[in-house]
Amino acid sequence: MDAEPQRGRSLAPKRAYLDKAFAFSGADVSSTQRIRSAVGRQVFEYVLEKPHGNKLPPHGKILLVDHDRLSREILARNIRREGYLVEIEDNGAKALSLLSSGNFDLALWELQLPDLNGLEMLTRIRTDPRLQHIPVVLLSERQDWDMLIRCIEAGADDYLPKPFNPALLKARIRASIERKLLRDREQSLLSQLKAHQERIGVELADATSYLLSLLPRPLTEPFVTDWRFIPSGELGGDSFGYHWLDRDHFALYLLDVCGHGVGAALLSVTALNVLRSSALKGADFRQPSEVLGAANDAFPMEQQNNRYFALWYGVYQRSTRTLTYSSAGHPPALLFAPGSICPQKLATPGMVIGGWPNSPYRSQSCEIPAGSRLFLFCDGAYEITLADGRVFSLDEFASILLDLPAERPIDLDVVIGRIRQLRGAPEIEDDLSIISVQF
Amino acid sequence: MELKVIKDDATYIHVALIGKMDVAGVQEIEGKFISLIAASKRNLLVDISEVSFMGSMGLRVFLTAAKSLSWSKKSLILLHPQPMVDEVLEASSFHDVVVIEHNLEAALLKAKS
Repeated sequence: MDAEPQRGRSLAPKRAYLDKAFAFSGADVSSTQRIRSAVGRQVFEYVLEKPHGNKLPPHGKILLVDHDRLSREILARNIRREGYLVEIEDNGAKALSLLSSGNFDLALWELQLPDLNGLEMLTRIRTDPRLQHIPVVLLSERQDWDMLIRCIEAGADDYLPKPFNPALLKARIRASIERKLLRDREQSLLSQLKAHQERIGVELADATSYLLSLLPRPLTEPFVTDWRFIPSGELGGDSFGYHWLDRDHFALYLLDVCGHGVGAALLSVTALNVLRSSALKGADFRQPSEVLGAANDAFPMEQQNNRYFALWYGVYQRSTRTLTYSSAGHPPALLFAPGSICPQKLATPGMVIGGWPNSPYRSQSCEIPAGSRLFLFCDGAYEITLADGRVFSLDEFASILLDLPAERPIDLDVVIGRIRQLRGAPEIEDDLSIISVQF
Repeated sequence: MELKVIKDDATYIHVALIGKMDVAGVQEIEGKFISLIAASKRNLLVDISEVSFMGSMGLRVFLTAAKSLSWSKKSLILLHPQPMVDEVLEASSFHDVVVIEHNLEAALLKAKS
């Protein structure tokens, strides 16, 4: 790894440099005197053999690349005294290979190596993903400002002019290594954060999968149902369902918990399961107002982390073609009778579920003519802020539904596409749920 | 979203809310709004004439306020809701639990009572 010293090279010009290096090393004056009286190689050997005094534990690994052996060894010696691990190399290509294979915290690199100049070296280091994070401090024997500037522009972190000022050398090494270790720490934390996010992502996907498993399958008889569900985040506060209560009564419901995210979804799923299993104490699930009253008793917001939900609940009686419904702070369902250009808005005023104790709820009924279309949706379907700042209205949303071709099955993708178009972005900012029933 | 204190009287506090009461808007004023109620057991008159949107999180702020005030036998009075906001309040039967007024004098009379 380390080359032999160059033969026939005079050490005399190095004396000033050695003075500073020994001062930096902490060697005592008498030792320094004896070194000065010796010839170059003996100087070098003495320094290497001198036992360390206050050896610090290593706290950084440095690659030192310098083609001048004496300069390299003395510098390495003194850096080691500071507690760093040092590996040395005199050849640029080998140094790059070494840099790739080791976990170095700093490269001290001579600007003008015989086989690789500083600019070439930096270009290779900064374009190599394995190396680009390693700080590089250039060692410059000459005041080659033009090259230095180009190297710093190419990604060098600092430079040290030769002969070295010991205090400056220590300060720059320490600063560069501290920056590198800080960056390593940041990268480590970032990796942990990414791993954490991935784990949360997996868990949220699992939760979303569970929520989706609770949603009903589309029906094809005795009427056709369909739905779309697009949560604004990984999980939303919307949920809905429909099922037969008995052979004559079909329940249909949609609930929207205030807020978004996991907290809203947990309450949403809990309430959905209660409705799916008709598990509210004292409520006849064929009577919508009773269901809402019992739900309001069961889910007071003070016991639900200050969350409440809007709910629309309807029961279609097949034998009488009657829909009885009740709502709690929920947008109306829209009923389009065949040939009608104006939908019937199906809603009753009612306090949001859990909002206020003992709130009264009432039911209303309407006839469902054959061929009617019913749409049940959350407020996210039409509370859209348009480009001009205006908020899209329920009536405008109704016109989108009215435009769906009457002679073809209801295509909810057309509705979703129109909503996305109005928002001007593919992302949905609020949960979006819509159910259609073609009677 | 902005919350302005118009009058801090011995018997009532008169404030105005300005902006959209959506998730982001509510986050900006909720703490200050709730602290107003917690700080004093007085009627709270809220001018919402410049509230252009009322989402579920906005309703939650008013519900929380109305409940807190009701424990002290005090009232939340909402003044001048815009038609779209009024529709939302009506759909949620807010008229049953808070006072909704369209006239300042009538609202002040109730606030001072």
